[in-house]
Amino acid sequence: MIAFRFSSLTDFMHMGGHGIYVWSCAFIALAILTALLVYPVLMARSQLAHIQRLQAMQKMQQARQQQAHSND
Amino acid sequence: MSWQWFHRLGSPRWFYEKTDRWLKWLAPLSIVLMLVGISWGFGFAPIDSKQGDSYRIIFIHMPAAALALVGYYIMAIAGAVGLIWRMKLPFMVMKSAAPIGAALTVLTLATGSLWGHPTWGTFWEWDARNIFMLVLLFLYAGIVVLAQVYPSRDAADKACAILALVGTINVPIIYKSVDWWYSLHQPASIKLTGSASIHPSMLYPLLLCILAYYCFYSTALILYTRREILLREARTSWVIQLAQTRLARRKANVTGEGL
Repeated sequence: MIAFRFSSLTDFMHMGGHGIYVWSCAFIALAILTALLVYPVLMARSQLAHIQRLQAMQKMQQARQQQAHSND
Repeated sequence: MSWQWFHRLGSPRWFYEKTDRWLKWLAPLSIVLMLVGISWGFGFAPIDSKQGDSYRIIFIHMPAAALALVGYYIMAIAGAVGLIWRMKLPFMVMKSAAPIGAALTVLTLATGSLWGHPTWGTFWEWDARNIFMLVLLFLYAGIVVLAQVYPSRDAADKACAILALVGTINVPIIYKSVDWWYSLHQPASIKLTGSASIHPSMLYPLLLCILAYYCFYSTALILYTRREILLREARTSWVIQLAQTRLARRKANVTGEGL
């Protein structure tokens, strides 16, 4: 039941004239599905980086305020 | 009866920490299943006697369509749970399901169009199923947009949940459209009741592809929800802690931490 159905790789690409449709679908699926995994990961990373920057800024401000107090 | 588990299920922090471990096997599993299923369908399943090799698009098209429909129910149910129990996490799941569903609907329409040209002789036909699939895309897109336009997050969540619930009427229409109207679409190959009208040599790779899409959908939904959690819980101490440990780990040049 399970045997490779095409005689050659060219045959596999060509698919009896339907290759352009089948492989276009495969390409579109690859693009969309990859984007669905990569995009949320990248966005989550940038969000974490954003939180880090906010924290760093807050700390700097606090340090500055303390310095201003000690100068008084 | 203890309802503790139910409320824990509604805690974004619990979800974030739990899914950290789930993703480690779920993400590779969905990629492997997808590769095996598609390769089997493309290279090893027999050729269709009527449609030739163009039928192989079914291994991408049909599971994508199935998950676009199932995903709509997941989104609507999450919205309903959020409305009824006023929990935070279900709304985040609902909002995350919208772009994934929209992408899968686009994939379904695009692959269907590429399948239609050699089989029906046209890229697009105003066929009942095509029309309602397009309506599904507009519903998903509407929820994506609606989630952005409200100044108040509570109002946006409620509006999205209501739109999602109203739109559920569309899902059974799509499912039954090939039986209700004369259609270019072939009737269902796999039925919940009764035997499948498709040979096992094509059925098994198709079932594997469906399983792969389910795993993939879960992975994507978890990833999108985690991103939404980080956005909405940015001021909570545990997220700030998380951001700092991540920074510290990167400084120590340790790679391979999960997001």
